[in-house]
Amino acid sequence: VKRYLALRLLNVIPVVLIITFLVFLFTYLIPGDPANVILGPHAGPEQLAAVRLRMGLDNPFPERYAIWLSEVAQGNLGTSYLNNQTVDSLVASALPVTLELSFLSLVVAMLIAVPAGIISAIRKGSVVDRLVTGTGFLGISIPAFMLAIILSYIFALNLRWLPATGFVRLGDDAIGNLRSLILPAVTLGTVLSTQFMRYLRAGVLDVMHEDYVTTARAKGVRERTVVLRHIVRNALIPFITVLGLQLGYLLSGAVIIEQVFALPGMGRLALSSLASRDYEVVTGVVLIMAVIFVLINLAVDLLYSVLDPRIRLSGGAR
Amino acid sequence: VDHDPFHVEITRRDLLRAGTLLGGAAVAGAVVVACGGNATPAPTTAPATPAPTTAGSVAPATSAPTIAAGGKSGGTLRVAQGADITQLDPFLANITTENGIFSNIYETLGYFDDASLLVKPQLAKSWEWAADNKSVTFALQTGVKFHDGTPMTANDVKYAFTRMQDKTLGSAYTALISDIVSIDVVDDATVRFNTKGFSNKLIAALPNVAIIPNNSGSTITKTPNGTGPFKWVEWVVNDHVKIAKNPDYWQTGLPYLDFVVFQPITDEPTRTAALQSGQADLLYNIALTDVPQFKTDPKYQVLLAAPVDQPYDAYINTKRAPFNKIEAREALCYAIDRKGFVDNFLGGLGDVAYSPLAKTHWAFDPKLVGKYDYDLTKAADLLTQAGYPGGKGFNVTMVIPTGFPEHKELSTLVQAAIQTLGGTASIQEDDVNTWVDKLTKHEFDLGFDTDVKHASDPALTFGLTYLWHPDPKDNLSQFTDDMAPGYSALVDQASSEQDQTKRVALYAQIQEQFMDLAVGPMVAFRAIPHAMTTAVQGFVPAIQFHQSYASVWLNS
Repeated sequence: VKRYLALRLLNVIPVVLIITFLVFLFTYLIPGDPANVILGPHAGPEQLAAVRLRMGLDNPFPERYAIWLSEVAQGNLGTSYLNNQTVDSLVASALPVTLELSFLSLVVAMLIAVPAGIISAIRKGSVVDRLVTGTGFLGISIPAFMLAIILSYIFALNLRWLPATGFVRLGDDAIGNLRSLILPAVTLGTVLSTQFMRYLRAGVLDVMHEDYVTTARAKGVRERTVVLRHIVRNALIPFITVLGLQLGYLLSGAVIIEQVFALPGMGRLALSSLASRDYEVVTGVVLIMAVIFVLINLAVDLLYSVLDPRIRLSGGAR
Repeated sequence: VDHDPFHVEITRRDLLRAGTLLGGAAVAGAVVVACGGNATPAPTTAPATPAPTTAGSVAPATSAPTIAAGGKSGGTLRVAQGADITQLDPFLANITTENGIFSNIYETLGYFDDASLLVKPQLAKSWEWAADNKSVTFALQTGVKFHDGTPMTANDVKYAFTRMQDKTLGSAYTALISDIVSIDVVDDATVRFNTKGFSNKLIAALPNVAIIPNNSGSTITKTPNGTGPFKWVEWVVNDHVKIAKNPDYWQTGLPYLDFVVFQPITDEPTRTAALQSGQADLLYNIALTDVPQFKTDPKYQVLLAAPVDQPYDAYINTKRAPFNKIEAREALCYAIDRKGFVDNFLGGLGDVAYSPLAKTHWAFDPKLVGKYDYDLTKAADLLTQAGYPGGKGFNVTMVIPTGFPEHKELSTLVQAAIQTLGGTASIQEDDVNTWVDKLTKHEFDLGFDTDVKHASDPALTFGLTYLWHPDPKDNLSQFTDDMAPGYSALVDQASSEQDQTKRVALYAQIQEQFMDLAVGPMVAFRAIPHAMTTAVQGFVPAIQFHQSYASVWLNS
């Protein structure tokens, strides 16, 4: 397993290299640069050239990428072209927001999806099932930002239970922090839960009629045990795959939700720095997100073997 | 246009770091729209400004602005706005949000007075031109300290202006002070600018040069340090900027607020919700069409800056067909339904523009009223003269930035008119950076924008609003000297003219020539609305977004 882990971790390097290269290339290819941002549309060519020179933007693309790589290899993610803050500090400030939002959304999604998915499968065709699949369909159709506006209209504007915007840091005020994240997490979690629910329901339905379930029932095992130990546990394996894939969605969904609720997270940092062509920040953010994404996938793979000991990790015991 | 494409409103008004607006100086520039119930909205008229009597468009004030009394001290004002700042150098500030924050940290020798549209003394007590007009001498305020405790002296002033002269800095304002030849420090409280001659432009440019401590160019971009009523606290990117009361502020009694927190909320409905659900006290720069929503609710008030310095105007590619022909450009001017735009898309809170100067400006040429009023028959005739009979071959590519609804509405309006004339018009919508790129590479026929026109002096309006003056040759409309023989000489003459009556006559001539050429059609001036709770007192909207919070207080 250790060797497997080491191999997988080594795989991160080429993935990250390719991704950052592409990001660098794209930011290079799209029109505009930080000098444009600073000077606006009325600047003359000489002025633009002067600012580009000052910022090191006049270097050709491969050279800039090489410089960046060597800096990263030394653990230095660079400095924003515009605001003089280091990418490290920008990420350190934004990453916890996104991680917290993702985690809470996942909790919300599971709280909704697990019971709803299981019950609707076991009571297939019942009113509960129809209700669950119906709302699930609705949930898939509704875009996250729309749900965000609806929820914020009800709970922030009309009932005034929760703030519509304004992030409170966990260290400053734990309750305020939770309050500021409830609406975003519920929005993202609800959208996510509809996917989970469908997969879980399908998984449970698949497993329900397996021989070992019938056998268990025949042995006289209590229904609760049958459901939890025999059905749900086995239904979870395909579900974990979906979960792994959906975590990627969670991170990208966070981009929109952070924008709508004005949360200072990674998605918003990526968007605002892309808008101002702040290349170093864009690439730094993408680098960190790529690493996280790869690590999540690794974690999901490891989870398989915990849930189903039959699945062996290649490179492990043979 | 702001350079943040995720901002839904209009924000980039390129410019100016004006000084803070203090005390009883200027309420006339803004008009309170009555809130609550069915009160009829007050008209947003600009102040009728009499022509100044002294040359140089500078009020002969010699004392510091007076201070309004009666505000309550304390509290935190939470301002929600459409975009975050992008950087911390006041010399490079060119978006609304930066100007609105830096104006409270930094001060300038003279500030732009919104009521009179004149530059009035701030860190300079007074200034005087030498008899030979080869220099202007400034007497500085004494006892003024920077936030770090060091006293502000003539050396700091010299450093600030010298830094602004550095072309490699890339500041849009460097060109504004090009009339300065050299700077002498006479003593701690006196500084002299040696000039090429008398310059209206130079005095008008004072609000654009923040006075920063000597040799602080590399440190202020990390920790801003000025003489203003508020001190820098922190900037958490995409979250907030916080500034705190400067207890040692030289204008005693000000400011009232302990803190001002600026929150960038890019999503427009969320920004509105922030005010309505109590997470913000003030929404800076809302859409004009949102005004009625807040005006009818007694919990809020809407304050507007008068429509005198923010016209919607156009960049025209005068170097390629169809707009290389003057008749085609004139046809375009007649095809813009400017009144319709004001009434339908600016909620009536604007004013049709007949010149880059508003009708209320002392230099406005009244002969221009009614010129280019919407007339598709005239437009069709002119198109025929231009060689596009029935609009055939009159194909126009328009460029607009995403996230600016009013630009799109205006473009769509013009697109419909062009199609009615028999031509074709396509609208290319790009993110702001791509849009800027297309403009600077001249890959467009027509592009609408909104810009500060430097109402502080027409010497700036015509000399330095880069899109028109033929001198920076790469202006976006590619307006060059050969298109208007004598035009730039006239502009230069007016810039150094001391006699006010002669200036008025010169600017009338310049405006007529400029409008006749139709190189930059003027559409409409826009009032700038801000919505806030009724607890916010003493807020006076700044015409050029150099918003001061020094005299703002909370009545809670």
